[in-house]
Amino acid sequence: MIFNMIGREHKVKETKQRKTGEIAAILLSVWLGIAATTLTHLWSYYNPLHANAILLNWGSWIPSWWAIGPYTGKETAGLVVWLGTWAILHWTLGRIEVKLKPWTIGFAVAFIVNLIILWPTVYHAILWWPSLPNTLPGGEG
Amino acid sequence: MKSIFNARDFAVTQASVAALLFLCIPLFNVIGFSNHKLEAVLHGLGATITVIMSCQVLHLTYPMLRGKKGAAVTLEWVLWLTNILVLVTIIFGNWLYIAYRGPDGPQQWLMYRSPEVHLILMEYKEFVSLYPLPLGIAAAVLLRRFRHQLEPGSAISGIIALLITLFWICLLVGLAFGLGLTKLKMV
Repeated sequence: MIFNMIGREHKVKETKQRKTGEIAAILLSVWLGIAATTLTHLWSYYNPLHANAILLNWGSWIPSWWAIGPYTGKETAGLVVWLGTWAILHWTLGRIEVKLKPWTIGFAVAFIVNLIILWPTVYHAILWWPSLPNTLPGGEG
Repeated sequence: MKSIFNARDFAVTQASVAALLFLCIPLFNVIGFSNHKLEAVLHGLGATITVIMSCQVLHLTYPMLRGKKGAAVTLEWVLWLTNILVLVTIIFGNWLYIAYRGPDGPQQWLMYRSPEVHLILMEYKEFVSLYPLPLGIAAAVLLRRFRHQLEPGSAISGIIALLITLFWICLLVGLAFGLGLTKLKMV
């Protein structure tokens, strides 16, 4: 009787065994969401006239989006990419077994790379610095 | 005579006093000069409570990594609670951002006097402070779905600890930069 119960419990645990691909899907989708906020932010510096109008449009589901600005669009892009890729990857990558070591190292390195690129002196050196209000004859920049 | 206090008493005393005094920092603004007190105090309180909770979350990962019985369950519910606080603080942050970038607001003031403060510190902080939301939810979901596979030294418990460590680092970036910014120019 007892052996039977232990056997059944073991079976339950075995059916609950998740695939390691699920972990990879979570790591990748978190990073893609983060990268989406970084990319849209760089886009709004690279081409503000074009990007900011689109970002405001994306962010317009957030209350007071018009006062918060293009930041709402960057948040929306991050949220949609994170949750969207998570759903897709969970049903694809999540069904297979993957090696966790390269995924863990890859995620940690990519996370730090994003933190470095996002540091404004780095991306402003690659793109350019915005014109400052007190350096222009007219005042406004 | 044996000591009347044990290690736990001292740890609880330190945590309580630290929490109380850290909460005073945003609360001082109630008698301060802010033009947007409600948003400022709510965002500051949210950030402070979130960082205090996230320290507890990080401490709870250690027994989880050692495989102590019940540690993962405690870690999971404290982490979910912190995740809710992270979301609430982000919402308050967005609300406060309206006043920050409004006419004659701190953004304009700083762009004329010291553009680096806005262009470097604020522009970095506003994005890094968002990262704890996906990081914390990812760690909490992994704790739930893989709760039967958490063994000491397993890859999955290491990944959860990595996510929580990054979660805590990003929260602390938000708090330190936010405190620094309010020191330079109050919203």
